[in-house]
Amino acid sequence: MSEHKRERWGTKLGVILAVSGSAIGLGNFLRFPSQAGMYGPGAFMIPYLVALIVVGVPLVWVEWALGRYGGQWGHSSGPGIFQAISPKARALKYIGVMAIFGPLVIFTYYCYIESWTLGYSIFSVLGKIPHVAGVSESIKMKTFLNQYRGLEPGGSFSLTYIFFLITFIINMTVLYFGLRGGIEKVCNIALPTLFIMGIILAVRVLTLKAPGSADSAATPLNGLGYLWNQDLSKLRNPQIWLAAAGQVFFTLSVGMGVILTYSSYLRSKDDVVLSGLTSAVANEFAEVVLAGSIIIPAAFVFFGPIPQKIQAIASSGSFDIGFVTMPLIFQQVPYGMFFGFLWFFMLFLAGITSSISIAQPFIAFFEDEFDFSRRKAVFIFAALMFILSQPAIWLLKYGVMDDLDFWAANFIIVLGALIEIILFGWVFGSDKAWEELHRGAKIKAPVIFKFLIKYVTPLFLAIILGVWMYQNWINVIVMKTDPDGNPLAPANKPYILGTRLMLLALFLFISILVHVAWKRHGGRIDISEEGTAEQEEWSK
Amino acid sequence: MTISGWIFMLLYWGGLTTLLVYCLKKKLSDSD
Repeated sequence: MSEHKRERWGTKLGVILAVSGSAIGLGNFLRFPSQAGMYGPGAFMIPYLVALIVVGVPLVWVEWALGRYGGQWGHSSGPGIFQAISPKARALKYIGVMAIFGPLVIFTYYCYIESWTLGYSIFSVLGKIPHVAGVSESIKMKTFLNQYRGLEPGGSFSLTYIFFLITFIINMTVLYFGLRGGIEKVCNIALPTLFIMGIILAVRVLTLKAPGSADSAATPLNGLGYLWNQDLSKLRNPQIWLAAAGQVFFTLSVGMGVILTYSSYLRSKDDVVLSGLTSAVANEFAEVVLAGSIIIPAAFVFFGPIPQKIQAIASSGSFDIGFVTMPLIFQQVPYGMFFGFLWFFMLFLAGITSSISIAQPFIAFFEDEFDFSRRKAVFIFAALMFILSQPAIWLLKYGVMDDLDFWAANFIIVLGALIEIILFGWVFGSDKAWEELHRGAKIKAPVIFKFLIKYVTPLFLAIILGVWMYQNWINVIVMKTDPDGNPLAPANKPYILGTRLMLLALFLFISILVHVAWKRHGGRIDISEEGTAEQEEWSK
Repeated sequence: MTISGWIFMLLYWGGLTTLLVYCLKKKLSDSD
């Protein structure tokens, strides 16, 4: 077998920016305010902090350590990494298919949503977003968004598709240039730019003054109070704890296989404790400090200091917040076109650093397991993704995108994270796992996390999975309701069924590829730089 | 915003910022 030359990160900071870029996505700026606002004032932040410590940080460390471990065996994607944990348990590589399948499915619609942010940022500069007299005219903005997405007649959908093509080509170009020449370089520029844009927007919002006739309590600081005042009575509501855990989970990009892949390019003695913590904290800074200071305080100023109104805005969903509420608000402030552009372009940067990360597991799979060149792997990925992206674009009104999101960004990642942490804490063994986590570590993780990783986090994840399955997911799976809990329209059923058949075929296709790859190399890849020593030690 | 809200927010923001600066500084001092 030919010796496989592994890609490596250019700098130690590069991998942190890349992982942070992966985690800081549209969800930080759109999903977090929606979740934090939905349950009313003073409800969300305490459960969110607890979930961050109990679920978020342990999972981040587990994924970094697992990824680096798998990388020593020459594997950068789920099947190889899972198999490396227990080489004798041959089924593990098929379970690891989830860590390729999930990101692949997310890419089929994420790139399209990302293209909306590019389109809207250009519309902001050109003044093409419809002008409204006041925030009460949200229907105009909503109609514009629906026309843009082809859900209502009157828009120019060809323009929407052109923005998708541009976004798709940008993504493929970055991926083509590889880990160091493409992903790392883009993240090194995009992440600091995103932070600067976020700070400018947060400062603008926090210095906003309410329109003349508004309530005197409609200040941005009181908007912050909506988030930060504590209403301890609400802590008795288990739904808030589940929602907070879910948000922490989604925002850190854990469970989907991206961190596994990125950290697999580390060297065996590279630190993962400090790196994992840094990426998690950078993500939290973007979410809590920046995103938390933009939408809710701005809505408080312009829609009034009425909790029910803020809850209604938050409950309208991430897309309405980002593409309806925020443009409405920016039109009411001086230089609104500029701030509108900043908002949408910041979302675009957040989007692209995430979309290139979810592409990498599939590309890495072909590079490692089939010894394909980067160019060939990217070409296969591009061709497959271009075809698979079409249903989410053209069949949006039939709920296809929601169903894809349900399977890939909800079901698979919660299940995937639960499997990962059980593999690490129980199959790998907690003592060995703790030792693996601390190999080359620049800081020591508090010993309480050993207990959390083994008992508390898996239990927490099992509860989340069980409760969500019972409350909502089971009805989605049997096609009774859509992922939002509304009855599934009969007209949508054939499209949802078709989507699921497509997903099943994709999962089987990747599983067959795994089977073929293991027939070919038997699970062992000889790598040119390092790792062989660890492999030999294992083989003894 | 209430006083306890201010305290909670400043502790959270301050904690995150301090931790981010500490982590980046430690990482950069070790960077190749």
